[in-house]
Amino acid sequence: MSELFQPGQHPDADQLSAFAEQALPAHERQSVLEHLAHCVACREIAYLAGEAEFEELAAAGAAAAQVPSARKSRISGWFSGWNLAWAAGAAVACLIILAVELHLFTALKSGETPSTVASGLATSKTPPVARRTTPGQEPIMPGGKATQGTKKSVTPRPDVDVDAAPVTSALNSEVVDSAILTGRDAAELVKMAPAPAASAGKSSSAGIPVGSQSAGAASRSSASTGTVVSGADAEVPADTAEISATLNNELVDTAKLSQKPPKLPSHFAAVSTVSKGRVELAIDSAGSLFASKDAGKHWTAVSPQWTGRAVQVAFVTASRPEVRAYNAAPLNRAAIAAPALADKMQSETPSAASIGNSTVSGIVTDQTGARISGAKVTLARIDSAERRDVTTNQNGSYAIDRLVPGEYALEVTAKGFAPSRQTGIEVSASQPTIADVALRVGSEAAAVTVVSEGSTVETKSIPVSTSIKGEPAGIRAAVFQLTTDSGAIWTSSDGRHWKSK
Amino acid sequence: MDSAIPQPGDLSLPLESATLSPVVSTIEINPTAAVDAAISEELVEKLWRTAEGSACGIGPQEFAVILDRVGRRCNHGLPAGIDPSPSQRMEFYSALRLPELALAHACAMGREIGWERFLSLYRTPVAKAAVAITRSSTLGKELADSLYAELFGLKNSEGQRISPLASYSGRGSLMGWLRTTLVQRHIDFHRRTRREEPLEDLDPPALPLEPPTQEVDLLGRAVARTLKALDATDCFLLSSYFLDRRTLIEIARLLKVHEATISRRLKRLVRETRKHLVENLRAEGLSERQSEEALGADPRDLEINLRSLLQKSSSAAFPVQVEPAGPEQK
Repeated sequence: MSELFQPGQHPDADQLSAFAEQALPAHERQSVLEHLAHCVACREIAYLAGEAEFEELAAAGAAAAQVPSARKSRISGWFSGWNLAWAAGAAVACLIILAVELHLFTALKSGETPSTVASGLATSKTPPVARRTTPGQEPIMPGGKATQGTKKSVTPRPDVDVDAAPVTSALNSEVVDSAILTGRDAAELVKMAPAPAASAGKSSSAGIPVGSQSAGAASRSSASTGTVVSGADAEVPADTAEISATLNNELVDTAKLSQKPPKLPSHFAAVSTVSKGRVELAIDSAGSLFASKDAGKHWTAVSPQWTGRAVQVAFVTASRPEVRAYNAAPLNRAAIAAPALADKMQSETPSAASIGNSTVSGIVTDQTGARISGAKVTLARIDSAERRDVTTNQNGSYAIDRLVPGEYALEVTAKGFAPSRQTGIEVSASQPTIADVALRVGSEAAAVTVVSEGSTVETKSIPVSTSIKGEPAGIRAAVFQLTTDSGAIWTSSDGRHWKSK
Repeated sequence: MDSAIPQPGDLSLPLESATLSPVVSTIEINPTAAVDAAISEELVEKLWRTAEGSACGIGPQEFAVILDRVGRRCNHGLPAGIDPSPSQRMEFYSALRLPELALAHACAMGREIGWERFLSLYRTPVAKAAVAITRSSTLGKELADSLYAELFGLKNSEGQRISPLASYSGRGSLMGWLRTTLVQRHIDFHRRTRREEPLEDLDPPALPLEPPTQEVDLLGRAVARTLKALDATDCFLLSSYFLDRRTLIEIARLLKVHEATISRRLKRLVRETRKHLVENLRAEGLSERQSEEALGADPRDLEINLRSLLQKSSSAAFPVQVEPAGPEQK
């Protein structure tokens, strides 16, 4: 016991601190413990000293715990933990954006515009068309391969498969149609006419190839057949609106037809172009649409707002569309009927007695020249009960073959249009007969009778001059018209913004 | 090295050389007679070097005197009446916290270098301990400042300065000693201020107790015998837990055992105490039923007995806040 500050029996600070630190010998610890058991004051001192020590240690521990945490907080800056993931993600996103931009830039430089890419993708989804090719013929594949094939200078081939790509057939139909509308020389028509229906039945005379090989192929086939195209002037009865088009106003200069096709950004060949002032539209062989505001000097891709590939573009006025085709086989009217003929061959089985080698084909359109698909065409022989029923295809064309020469009556009906009946159609055995029908908008109950005046189309010149009396209902304003491979028709006033018709 | 600091082995150091500091030390160090004869000079020098006596401003001979005084005061760690052997002395000296012992006594001797070392080592811990004790930074600072003044030395009636640091034996840590001293001073301060409180603020004096009934008297005697039979540790546990309302963790922290150990021991202690109490009641002539009924007496009647039995000291450091219940009632 200390005699300094704790006189008497109380342990001093040295003993109490040593007791708390277990530093006292056993006998002294026991004596201190006995004293603590009975001395509340010394117990208070001991407990209070112990609490103070514990708080000091706790404070020191907290401070020691704060030091690593503060150091850790200093170490863990923005560049640690998930912050690195964010930075890495941002870097990857930047790389992706840069790669896309580079791809687009290179695509633009190489001609693959976004629209081209899109159409290419759409094209790639299109299943390849099974075709029969003659030995040595390079198959025309849809999409880029076909386009590449057209870029080569291929020698003309005489025979083209009937089951050519829809693009080709549709294009050729329009080409032929436009060629007819331009009033070309009948001799040229004769030269470019395909094989007769009989040979077409062998599926070797309908298709028109694309590009430079088309004209040669068509002319060679026409030269070998010497088909005479017969036409008829349309005369509308007085009780109906008389529709006729002055095709001479829209004659396309022959020189234009043979002019050099524009160089499109895609570097593909242009298969269809149309112009309206300085605005020109062009479709390349890949089905992409390009527009030019400066008469073809600079072309920009038009983003496709349609499904499928664009196959033909035209400028539709109050009368008929203006179409230019480059190096395509023009005036091949029989080519129009060929696909339809091939399509209907197997579904139509005429009676054995009436089987002949004559053909009647034509195009069913409305008053604006838009083609009507699914129209029912009935050809009835006057002097017998023979009737042949066909339906127009997607291009609005039809063809009836294996006809016995004679006089026929043609009746066309379509939903939403007034029926049309055309009589006095002479079908000869030597040449196919062309019978186009323009339907009027109206109820099906209304009857439109078309009386044919001319029996045979002159081979030298086609008197297709017509006059418009009054403005029939349904005539549209002058717009661009685009036809896709699926037959859908889109219209646009500026060539860039298109609406489905 | 300071010229005033004696060199190792310099046993002829005059007393004046040890009191050159401004503070006049009252520690009487006789370099020729105070040193324990059982300690060789080599051992003293070794202990002195271990204690870093030169850094505290004391020489080996002075340190030897300090060791001798501490050893004799504590009987070298042996119970009273046992004469320690040289080995026991050496064992006792070696177990001491020699650096802290040298520093504390150097400060008690008024060595300036020792005070500088002391302040550099313990100024901040003492301040923190004072704040922790008083739970106030202001009071803690005042408490620490007052302790420094006291540690520096107070003159006694004979004009000699007496520093509490001279009572440090080196068995425990110097910081523990300082903390305990701070607590003592804090409690002394609390006692003084409590005594200075106005009388009307004090609780009214307790009414004279009614004479206990026979049953309570029997119970009181039985409780007294039961508690007297407890050893010091059990009595300390009961006092701390039931009288001081200390928590298990506080008791465990003081005794340096686990809290669960205190809990188990308290449970067993209460059970055995009750058992012994019933036995003592039956020894007083009560039946078992009467003994059980006696245990259900009002604890407020037993509180007086328990406090008088468990708490011999009448001077409470802090006023008793809650009337504790007897362990039997728990």
